[in-house]
Amino acid sequence: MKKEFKKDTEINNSFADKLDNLIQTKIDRKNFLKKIGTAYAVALAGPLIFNSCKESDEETFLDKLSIKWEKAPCRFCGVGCSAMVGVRDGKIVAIAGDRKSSVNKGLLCIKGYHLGEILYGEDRFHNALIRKNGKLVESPLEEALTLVASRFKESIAANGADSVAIYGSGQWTIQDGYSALKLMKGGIGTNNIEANARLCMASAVTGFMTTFGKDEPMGCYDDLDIGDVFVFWGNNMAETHPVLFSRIMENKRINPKVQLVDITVRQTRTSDSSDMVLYFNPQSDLAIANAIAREIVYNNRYNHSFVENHTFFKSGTTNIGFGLEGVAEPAITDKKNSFEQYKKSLDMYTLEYVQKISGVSAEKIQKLASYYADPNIKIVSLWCMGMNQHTRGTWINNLVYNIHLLTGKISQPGNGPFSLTGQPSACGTVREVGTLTHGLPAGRNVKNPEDRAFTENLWGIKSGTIPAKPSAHTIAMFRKLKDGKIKAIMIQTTNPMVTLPDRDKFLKGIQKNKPFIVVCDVYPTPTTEIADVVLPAAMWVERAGCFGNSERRTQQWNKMVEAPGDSHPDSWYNIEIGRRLGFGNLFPWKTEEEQAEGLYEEYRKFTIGVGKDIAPYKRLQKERGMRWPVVNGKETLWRYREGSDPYVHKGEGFSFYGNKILGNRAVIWERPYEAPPEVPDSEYPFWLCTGRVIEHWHTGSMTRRVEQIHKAMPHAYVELNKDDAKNLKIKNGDDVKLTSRRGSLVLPAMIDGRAKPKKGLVFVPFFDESLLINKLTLDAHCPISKQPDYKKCSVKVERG
Amino acid sequence: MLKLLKKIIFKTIFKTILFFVVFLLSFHCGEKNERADFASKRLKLRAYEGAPPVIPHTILKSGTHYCLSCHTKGIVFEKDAEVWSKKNMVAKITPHPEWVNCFQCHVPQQDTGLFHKNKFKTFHLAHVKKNIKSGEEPAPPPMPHQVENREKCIICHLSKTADPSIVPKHGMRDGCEMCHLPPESLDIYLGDGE
Repeated sequence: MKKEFKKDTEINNSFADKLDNLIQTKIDRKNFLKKIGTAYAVALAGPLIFNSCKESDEETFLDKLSIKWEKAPCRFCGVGCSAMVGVRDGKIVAIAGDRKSSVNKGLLCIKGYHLGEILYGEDRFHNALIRKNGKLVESPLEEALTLVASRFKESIAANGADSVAIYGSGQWTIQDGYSALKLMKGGIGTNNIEANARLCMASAVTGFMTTFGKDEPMGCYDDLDIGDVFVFWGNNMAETHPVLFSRIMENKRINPKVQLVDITVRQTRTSDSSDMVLYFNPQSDLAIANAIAREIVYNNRYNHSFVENHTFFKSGTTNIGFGLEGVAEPAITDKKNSFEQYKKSLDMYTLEYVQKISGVSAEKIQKLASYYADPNIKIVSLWCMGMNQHTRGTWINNLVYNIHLLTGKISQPGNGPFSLTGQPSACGTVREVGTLTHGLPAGRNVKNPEDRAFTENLWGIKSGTIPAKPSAHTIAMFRKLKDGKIKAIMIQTTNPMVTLPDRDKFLKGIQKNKPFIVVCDVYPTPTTEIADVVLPAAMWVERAGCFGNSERRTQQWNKMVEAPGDSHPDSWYNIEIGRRLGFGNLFPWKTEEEQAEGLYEEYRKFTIGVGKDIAPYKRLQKERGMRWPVVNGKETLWRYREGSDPYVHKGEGFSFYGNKILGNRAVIWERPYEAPPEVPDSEYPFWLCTGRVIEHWHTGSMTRRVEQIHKAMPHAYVELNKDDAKNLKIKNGDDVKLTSRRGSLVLPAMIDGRAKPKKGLVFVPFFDESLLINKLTLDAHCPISKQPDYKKCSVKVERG
Repeated sequence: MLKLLKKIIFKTIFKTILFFVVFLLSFHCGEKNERADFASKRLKLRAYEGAPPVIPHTILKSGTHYCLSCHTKGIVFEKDAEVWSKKNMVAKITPHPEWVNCFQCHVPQQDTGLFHKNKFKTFHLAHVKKNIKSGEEPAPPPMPHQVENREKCIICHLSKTADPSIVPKHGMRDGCEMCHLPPESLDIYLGDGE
């Protein structure tokens, strides 16, 4: 590694070394510190005990020593920082960044530093709640579990296995997700399992699958310390992945050659730190990516040998629709393409044409293309929701891979596309365990008979238990729920009544058809409001678990504090309900500890030998996570490249082994620019883009209960462009009424605040359950990934 | 009945004694403990000792890099400075100017109520006693806080923006950690840490 992210101050070492030198005697460091420690402790104890005039809330230094520190990955985003959790008297009292973690190297963000407080909100659930006479009433846990099991049983008996469902989360631990998957597909025998990760990274998955045949990034965070140019494709990394952004800024501080390029629709904190900013019109990222590819191909600046040896050209169905309710969609197929055909398809994306649709100057696109084309520049493309929450999400992912494949800048230190994630285990649980309707563990698919047979065999269940046909993706599942086709659903660790696009449509249907809804959560949310049963959940370090972050790193933590009242982990609930439904034999583990290790180790068997080999549980207890594939006890930093990835054979150079049928080649896709379903018109003249702020995470159900964070960002707001505000006579702080075809909302205006949207666009963060922007958004989605587009719909803006 | 009466009498006597003990103790150390005051003041800006402090003033400019214009070299404002609503304001020198995404960890606070109350409880460590004076103490006191991102002791303890209560009486000496043990070392001694 050529440079350090931050100097690792080994205080303990330096201190011991210095004193060692002083007294000129070599003694064991541990013993030495022990002696010194005792001396200090005794010395301090005297004055403290006898002369102290302690304030009641004050503690002595000696008390501090009774804090027990242990590592745990952060509960929030997909970066997967490691935190040191300080526990005293069974409660978390402090948090520190973990210097031993190579992810964050001692640093956290505002959310991470306040992890301790998220457990102690006063309105935390302690008991199970059952709706009786319209009200949620505290009830014995046993009664709640029996009720859930009997309602599920009734529904299955009367309406079949597909009338029940489970909706989970990228915040599920690996154990939670695996137990839910086994219960639904191996026990009940339905593919009705989805997770909220469908709303946040499904396009990244289908992007990876269509291009590489295998999910998840080939590179890792080390690229951020090594690269020369970083391109943010619609990603406000300074706010949404701040620790990684600081890694890039540290790289830039040490290496002045480093350039940051921001492709965005609003001037954000990321733009403020960037060297070049491309303000583009929503959806035109498709055209920009094609224009960059055109520049590279037409100026003959592509990597000839890489393209020849490691890529394959394809084109697919176009005009694929937007997944709108009641609108028929064409069947999506693909066919082989040639380089010449691909080149011809790029012809229309001239700089002039793209400048016209994107609003980005030709010079800037050309300059960005030259960064990609220059063989001496190491370049990393980064993205998250901007590209994934997109009605052409799969396409734009493909198009960015195209650029890296054309230039051969992939799978090498400091070179590569990097898809970031927003939830702590969207990768580890939803993508790797496969808790989606089509999924089976470690990249397997229910459509594949061999995969089903392998899974049924490993689980020891009857052949044919797992249905061969995927049932419903998240939006379809909630459409079925609102239409009364799904009769009972269990929702775990997520808050769909805040996050679903066009929320009120779903809420109204649910209120009308009254399906049986069970919610496992820790705090009251708009989702628990519609629940018939609430099961109190044990969160984060109240149970043992594992998360997998964006760079394929699987991390484990132990239970450190007791969960309040009757709370239990989601995996425990899945197992207990499974037992009550007669599937106890699928879950032979008794205690929660046995379940944590047992579920993980059983799941691990699926990962061995398929390129997703995860490390043993016992090993992870000692490590700050390991990046799979872990082969012969060694983690993999860059996949698909000889010498770095154990799955690539000698002499191959690169091997995209996910695409065995294509000769281990990655696919360069022909994907055109197509307009989104709803564009501003005379009646609804503004674009509405939703997103995140640094303070709050997801729907804010945890972070809003932290005093410091809530006071920093107490409510949602609408960001307006200065000129637009002037035309509408709106001043900073004024109430503004936003209206879309689906609903309206009044919020305070923010003009020239932390971010400034381009003209004709307004931005609203989605964390605030009382100012719910998802009443306005559209449930149009990418027909390939089924991920909704929360970034584009049209609204009317008026003074409130 | 008698038993109950006895219980009440005993309780009252016990409480009275306790009150006097506490009273005497507080009298005994009536001298103002500057460091303890400083420690409580510190904790008002933090969720716990070691947490990044919140920003105690309004943000005049919204960009990321404006913070460093005051916090690189530090400013001690005149007592009657009009620019700040609160008098005696000090723009502290940041101990980690290399981190430029300030709002990653530090956030301004609005005068608003809570969303929901929180029962999180913490403590503070700045408890190096006033009566441990240089020369008198049996050993130099250990560092009473984490040093992550605050490795350069003199920035907080000896610079012009240092709070007087935490400026060492012995003045500037090289190599603070030669005499003052960082807390992590003690964790090792107790076998609690990593």
